[in-house]
Amino acid sequence: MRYPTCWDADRVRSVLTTESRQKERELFLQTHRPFQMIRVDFCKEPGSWGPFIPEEELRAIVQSGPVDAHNRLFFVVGEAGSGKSELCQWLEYMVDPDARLAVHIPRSMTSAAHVVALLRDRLGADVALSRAPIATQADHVALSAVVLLYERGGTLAPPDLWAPVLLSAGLRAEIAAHLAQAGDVAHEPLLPDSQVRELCSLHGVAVASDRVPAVAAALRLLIGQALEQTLWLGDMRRLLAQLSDVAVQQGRRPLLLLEDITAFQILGDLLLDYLLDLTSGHFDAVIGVTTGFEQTQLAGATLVGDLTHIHHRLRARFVLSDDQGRSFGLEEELVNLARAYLGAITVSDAAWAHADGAFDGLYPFTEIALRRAFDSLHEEGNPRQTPRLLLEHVIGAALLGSEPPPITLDRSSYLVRPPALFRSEDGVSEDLASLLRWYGEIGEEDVTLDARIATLWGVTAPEHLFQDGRIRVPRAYITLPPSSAPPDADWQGELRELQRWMALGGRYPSRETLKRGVERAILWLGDPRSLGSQDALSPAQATIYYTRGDERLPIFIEDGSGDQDPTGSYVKVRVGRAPEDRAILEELVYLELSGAEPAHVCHNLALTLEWARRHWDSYHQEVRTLLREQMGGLTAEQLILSAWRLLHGLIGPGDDYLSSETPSLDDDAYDRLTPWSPERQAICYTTGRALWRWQDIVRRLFIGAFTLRETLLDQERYVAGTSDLDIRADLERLARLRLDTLRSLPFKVRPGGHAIQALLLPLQRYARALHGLDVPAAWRSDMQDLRRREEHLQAQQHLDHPALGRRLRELHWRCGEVGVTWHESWDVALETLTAITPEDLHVLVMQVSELRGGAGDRLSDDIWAYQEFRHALRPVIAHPYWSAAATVRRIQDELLRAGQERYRRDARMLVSTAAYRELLQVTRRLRQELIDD
Amino acid sequence: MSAPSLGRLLISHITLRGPEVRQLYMLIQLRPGIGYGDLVVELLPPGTMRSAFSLEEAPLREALNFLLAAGLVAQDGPSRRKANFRATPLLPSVPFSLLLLRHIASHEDERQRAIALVYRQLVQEDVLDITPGAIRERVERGPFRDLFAWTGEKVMFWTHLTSSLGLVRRLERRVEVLIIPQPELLLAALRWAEQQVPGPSLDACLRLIDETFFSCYTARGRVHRGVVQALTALHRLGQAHLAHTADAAHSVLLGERRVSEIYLLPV
Amino acid sequence: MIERSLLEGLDATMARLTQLAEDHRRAQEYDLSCERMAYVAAQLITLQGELSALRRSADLLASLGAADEAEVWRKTCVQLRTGSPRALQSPGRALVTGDVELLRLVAYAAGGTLIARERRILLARELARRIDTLEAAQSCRHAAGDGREIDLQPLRQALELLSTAGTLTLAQLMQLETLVVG
Repeated sequence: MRYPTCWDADRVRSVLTTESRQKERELFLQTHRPFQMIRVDFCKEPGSWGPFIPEEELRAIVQSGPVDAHNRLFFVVGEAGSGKSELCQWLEYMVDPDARLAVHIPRSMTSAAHVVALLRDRLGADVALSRAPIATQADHVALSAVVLLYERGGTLAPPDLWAPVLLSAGLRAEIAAHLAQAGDVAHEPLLPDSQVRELCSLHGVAVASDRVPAVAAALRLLIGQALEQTLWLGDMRRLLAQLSDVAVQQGRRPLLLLEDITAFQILGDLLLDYLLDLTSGHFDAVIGVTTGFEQTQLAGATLVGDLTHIHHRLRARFVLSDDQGRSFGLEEELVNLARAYLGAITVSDAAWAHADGAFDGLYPFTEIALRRAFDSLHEEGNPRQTPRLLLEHVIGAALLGSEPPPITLDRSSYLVRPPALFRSEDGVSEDLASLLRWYGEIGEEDVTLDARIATLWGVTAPEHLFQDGRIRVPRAYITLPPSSAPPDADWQGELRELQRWMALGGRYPSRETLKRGVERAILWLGDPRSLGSQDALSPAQATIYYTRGDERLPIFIEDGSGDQDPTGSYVKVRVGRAPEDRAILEELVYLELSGAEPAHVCHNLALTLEWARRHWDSYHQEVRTLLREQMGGLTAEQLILSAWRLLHGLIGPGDDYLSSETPSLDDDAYDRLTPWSPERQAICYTTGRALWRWQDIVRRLFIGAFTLRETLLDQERYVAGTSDLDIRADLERLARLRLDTLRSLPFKVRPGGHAIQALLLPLQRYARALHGLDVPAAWRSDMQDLRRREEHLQAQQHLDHPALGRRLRELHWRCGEVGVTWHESWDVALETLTAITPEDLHVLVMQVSELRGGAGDRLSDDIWAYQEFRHALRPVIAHPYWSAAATVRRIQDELLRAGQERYRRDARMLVSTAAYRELLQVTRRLRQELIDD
Repeated sequence: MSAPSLGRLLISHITLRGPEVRQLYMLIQLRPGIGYGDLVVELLPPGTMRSAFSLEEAPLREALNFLLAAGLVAQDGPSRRKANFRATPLLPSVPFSLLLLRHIASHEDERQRAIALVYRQLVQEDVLDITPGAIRERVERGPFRDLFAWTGEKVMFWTHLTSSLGLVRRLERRVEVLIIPQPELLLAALRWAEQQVPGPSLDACLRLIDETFFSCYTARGRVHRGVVQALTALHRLGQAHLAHTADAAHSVLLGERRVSEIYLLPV
Repeated sequence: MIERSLLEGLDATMARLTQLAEDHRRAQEYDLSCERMAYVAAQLITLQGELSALRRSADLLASLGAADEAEVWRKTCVQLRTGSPRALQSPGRALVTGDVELLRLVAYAAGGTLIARERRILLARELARRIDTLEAAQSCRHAAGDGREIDLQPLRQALELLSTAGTLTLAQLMQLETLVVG
């Protein structure tokens, strides 16, 4: 950028010096703008004083006292830089020297010596300060300093070490020299550091060289306090009284102009005490006080310790600035003020003459730039609109800067950059943005700028922005329709934060607004956390959702905005600050702040939607990738299709898996359809049942992923899904899923809110059960079973059915005979067997042998073929004949068991018992006896 | 099943959404002469139980009827269930969305052109965003008010179909319809038009698109804002390049910008 | 396992049940036979006891010189020998069937016992008379100063036993015999 200037830096400094006192009367009056609005808090002078008065009235009030009236005090309260000095200076220059003796103590004059000298000067008295010889005075001061040293302590410890230094002849000589110079306002400061070092080494006090400045400052402070205490203060009271008397005698009333009492310490307190003692003299005293000081320090500084006490003694209290630090009336006077100063600095016939019309005589400012800069003034984090800041940090900085003002203003730490209200178009360079930010005129629909300004400073702009001699950039934030709620009051602040982040990165405190805007735009395209098909319309659909975080879309604002980097399974939409996206981000923030219609806020919705689509896609992909990684490579579609295939395999052919009726989930229903035997394939049977209970969810997930309507496939998705599906590999993947990692999967099925792992668990277990099933062994076992059944049936081939009927009937009374309780269900079995015909049995035997024969070809380790076989097997082994036959067998078993319990089987041959043999012996003996006669 | 109802209004197929129509057409195009039974096999979810009234096939039948009525598909055979179907596109090798728009726009029955006419009216009136309710109000007051009885359902169907084709945009969680063609649709139309017109004239392309597929100009003869946005987006995304030569015979204003030529990124 | 028809299975079950019932019945009959046997055995033992006591008594009297009385035993033997039923030789069948053979056996045993006991009491009286005589002779001899003295006390006890229903053990009888024969 070029910056033609035509002023002398020294001239700028002298005109813009903020020390009013340092300006010549002529220059002062040239640049002084009358204070039009001084607030009158109270005024005890007769007359009615409106809330605001101009400076002339203030002068009239101050000067209205009779010459010999007692002290009259006036406070002028205002922020630092609000014009207290200016006002004092103006009063000094404007008073009638015949009627008033003005004594102006500027802020820079903080030493008592200076003040006393000034007073003497005004009094026209001798320069000599005191009757005592200067050496004696110096001794007095040195001794006072030692007393203070002992009493107060501080840096100079121990006092014993330093007392000799203070009392040394060298130091006393220094003090004496200082006192001798006191008449000279611009006299040398007391005790430079080098002298302190010498003094110390002379008296054997060891001071490290890096501590010399601190020690010297402490010494100076100590001696200064001793000076004020011992000498000047008493003297000053006397001087003031003298001054007052002398002036009154001359017919002049003294006017004490104290720019800023804040700057004084002991001196200020004593001055105030003197003046507050209203009978002590005949002064009119105008005392400048900063707002903060009045509230916090002044009250404590007085002897009474009460601000009310001070206020009671004031004639009037004038205020220059409001609570926000804005000088009253300055806004209105701003342009005139600037014009006055600029007029005093610049010369006409400058290099910019051809463009002067663009600046309206305010070069290098325009009124818009001045006002915008003025509004942006900040000090220590607070807005502060004071003349001093304007002069120093806007006008002065701009004139003295080597770059054109927009750059200087951008870089100033006293200015908060206003938000750019135009769209961050391509082709708008940083320089142009800066220029537009400060100099652009904000219209309803665009921000414009006199093209001459840009040309003069060498700022280029794309051709299409030039129009009728102006650069015209569309506004991002058009006026809202009246129906819209007004945006948040702080919207400009938020916008500023956004623009700062977009330009530089770093902390972005109000980023939540951007996130909500981004969320809003992305959700226009549907929820990227949902892994279902957006074209699925059926109300029966369910989808897998990413559910980390709360209901809100997780968003990460990049580049040090203060957001946590997404880690692990916490994936977030990433929003960066690529230059081409900035206009869109601004619009999204504004959309959020204003609640306005997208079509009203977004300059190009097609682009905004493309941006949203890009972020939607990439986030959606991230969510999918996360799921796939966590599930060992299975995609959501593969998961759903695998689950669906497994369930379909479990339920078997012929069943309507998409039936919209809520399926029955009781165990009997499962037993009727499962291919697995609860005994021989117990794991498959039980895990299958657990999965089977999920069939409705799986069905809904299928609908959500692969249909357009409940009964209309989304063929594209379905074909893609099935071609992508390798059910054997997926089964293995499912089986290998690690349950412990599944627990933390941040996915849910909606509606219903089932955690995805709740579905994965039965799925994984069933897959593992299928995977772990020894298929060849199961085949063999089934074949043995079938062979046994076949043999059984063949044994029934020549069955005498009537005889069987009789035998079956006999069972009942046989049970009664041996006490077996008859179950009603046995009747069913008996009826079945009674009714069975030779043809029935023939069909059954055919089926069994067909199964045996057919399976013979397919015997393999393929679980799916085996499952199919099991389904074919199920109706055959579920034939009522088998259970009837089994029941009859059971009845027989019961009968025999009962018979064996009931009937004794301990009958023996009598003749073979020992008792019988004994009997025989008896008879033998008897016969023996009879023969033995 | 009832006889083919070719006289039924396209805009009265209110249960359709769009994707199913496209899917069905693609299938028929891929397998010319496909029978109804095979369509059912291909498009009904496996294992779907067939009820006595074949209610499950209703969405399929609606889509089929729509395609027949639009003249995109022809039926060979008297009864639909026993018929075979083949595609009868008016234009070869254009994407389905454009093809359907062409068929609708060139339908001999004005009432069947209603879908295109609503769009034309909105573009001519320079509407950018509008609620379905407001669309209905506009057409009921507009030049096509007497075509038939306008209903909320017809307008809703219109928004669903046209947004599915990419002619307008519907946003989730918002009621209004944005009259902004999706960049892909516009690009496809431009690619087609580019082949038909001599030279890179944007105006010529847009006029051809306007005549063939969908409206691009407002009543004042300016390019509609929605088209402008989509064109600008294509330009920004690098898929099309817009340029202006001062001596061009025809140029159009895209917002503030004057453009005479368009160059498309080669496929 | 060879598969059978359902009917075969049922037949087998029924047959088995019938078998079980039969076994049960036989067990009950066995119990009855045992009871009969015990009864019969008791009867026969009593008979044998009586006969034994009768024979001892007869032997004792015979040793005391009463030949007629000794003849009682022989007659009794003949009588019981000739009247003994067939079942006495092998009582098994009679015990199991419980028919008339058993009745004959029981009647034989009971009748035999009565006869033996009756005759033994007669013999006991005769013995008592003879002991009295012996006692008188003893006292005479004692009076005559014959120092030889026979202790008659065991004889009296034997008599006591014989005359009652009780039966002497074999040992007691041997002792008694020794005493009498002296």
